[in-house]
Amino acid sequence: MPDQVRDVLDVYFPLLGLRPNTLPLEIACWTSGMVTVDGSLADEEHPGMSAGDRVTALYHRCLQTHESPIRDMADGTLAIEVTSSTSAARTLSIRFDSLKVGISEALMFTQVGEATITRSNDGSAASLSTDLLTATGGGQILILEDYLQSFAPGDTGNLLSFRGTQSGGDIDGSVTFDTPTPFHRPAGAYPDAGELVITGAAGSSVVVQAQPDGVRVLLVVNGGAPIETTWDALEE
Amino acid sequence: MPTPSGRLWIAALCVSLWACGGGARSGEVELVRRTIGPEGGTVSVTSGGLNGLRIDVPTQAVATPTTFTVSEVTVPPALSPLPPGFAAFKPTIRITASPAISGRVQVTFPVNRFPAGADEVLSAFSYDDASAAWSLVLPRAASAQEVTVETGHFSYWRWGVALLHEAPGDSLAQAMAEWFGQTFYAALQAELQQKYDQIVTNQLVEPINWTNCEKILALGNVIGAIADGAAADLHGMLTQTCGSCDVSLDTFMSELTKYVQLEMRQLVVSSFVTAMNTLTHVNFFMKLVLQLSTAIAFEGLKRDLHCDYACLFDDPPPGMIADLATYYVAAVALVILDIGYRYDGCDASTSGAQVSAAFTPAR
Repeated sequence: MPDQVRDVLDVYFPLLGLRPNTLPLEIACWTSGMVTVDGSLADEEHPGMSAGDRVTALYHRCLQTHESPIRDMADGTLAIEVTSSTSAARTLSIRFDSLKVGISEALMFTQVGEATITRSNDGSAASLSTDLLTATGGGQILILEDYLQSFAPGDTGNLLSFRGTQSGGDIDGSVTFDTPTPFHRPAGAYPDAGELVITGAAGSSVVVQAQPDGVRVLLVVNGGAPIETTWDALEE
Repeated sequence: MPTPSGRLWIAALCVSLWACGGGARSGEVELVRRTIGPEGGTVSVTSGGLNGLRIDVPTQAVATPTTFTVSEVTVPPALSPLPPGFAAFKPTIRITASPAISGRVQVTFPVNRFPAGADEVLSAFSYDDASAAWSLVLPRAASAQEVTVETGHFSYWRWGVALLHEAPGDSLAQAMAEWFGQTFYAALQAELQQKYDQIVTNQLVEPINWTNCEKILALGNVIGAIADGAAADLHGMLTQTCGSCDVSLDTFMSELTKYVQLEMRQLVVSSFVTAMNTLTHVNFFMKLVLQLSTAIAFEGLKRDLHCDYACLFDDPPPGMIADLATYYVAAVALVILDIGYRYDGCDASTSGAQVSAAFTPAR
């Protein structure tokens, strides 16, 4: 889930419940810039928990660096509205209204599109889906279609699955990706189970299979012999 | 933990009292103007988005009739941005007093409810033209609907929430010094650092092997005794200094410690234990005290207190600050030990009575 979305859900919504007389809020960003937060709440004691609750975060060249050495710049508007809410879960609609995000002003991607988040009310499980999300920047256009990402806690770790189609950028044509077996990731460790299948043009494919030791990974390229590598190596 | 009611620390020795004359400037809308004399009075905004904002001028706070104004800044001048960790409601306001006054007034800002997060503190932010910077101003009182600060500073103001995990340490330190009073705060800070060095660095971190349950338990007993001794000293001082306040040691310490029991654990679990090297930062203690003070100021909690502990802290008896710091640090050390002890499964091999005896600081 993008950091900006997480901030809106976990920080800005609750802060909105504190404001008097529906005054907007301004929140200083860690390094520089500002976020102006406004919206409406049906129940200010429980912000973000009622259908119709909405928050708009207007980023003014907001640069954050406190949680990561990577600079995180945002500029533009992100709007989130609670479209349904039950005692167990919420569904939220997200609108990226030309929200620019990136690591510097020189490398910013403009995100346009809408997405849906379903989230358990205790925040432990969530999924994000979008029919079409376009990001332009750095001379490239990235298009994400029919994307679904879900995260759920398990007894011994978390389950992460995702699927969708990506095109644009350095990709000639498009690739689809899917996790027929969700990745199981123990706390603080690499996945020890799960499979990701990436399918490209002319039936080309790469299968990424996590191994039970949580260290090794098998890659199967175009149905050939498995190639053994490690998560560390893949990350380098 | 040692910090009763909004008290004490109340000896704010702030000296930079200066006032801006006049009313609204270009880019401002004057919301209210009222002249108040030495008899005191109130200036209130009664409509619009700033409805609920008011200035209470105590008797004798002004020597001559003084005109107070509150203006909404519609076109902000080129002020420095808010520091990180400050979440402020719009708009900026400007408060003036003419002629300049030497006393202090109370400014109350409206809020909608009290924050739920342990790391969030209702606060105000004042702008210092000389340094071109916003300063955190801690509340003297807070309720579900308003937050009140005391000040002699008339300039640009905002209010909202300070997010402690993001707010700069120097902002917190400055606010703490203002709130406690410079002398008291400096002494407390020095004592905290010294006690920290003595107990935590030298006696806790280096020699402790977290798998050695007996050693952890023994150290817990030692530090528990230190905490008990400091508590007894503090209680004795309370009896001597505040003769009319008859409260048992148990009640006294439970009122001081009940906030720590909750707040410390949250802080410790979230950041303390995972980054032990940050223990040297006295900012931790500042944040801790900050949270305590705000909790105490919160009316719902304040009602539970049996004494007005201001009598103890307005003019601290000799040794009180040292005992206070000792108790703080001992309590922190006990929490750390407690977590380490339980994390390593020691409580499974030790009776509940032993654990309780070692890790329940003073009462």
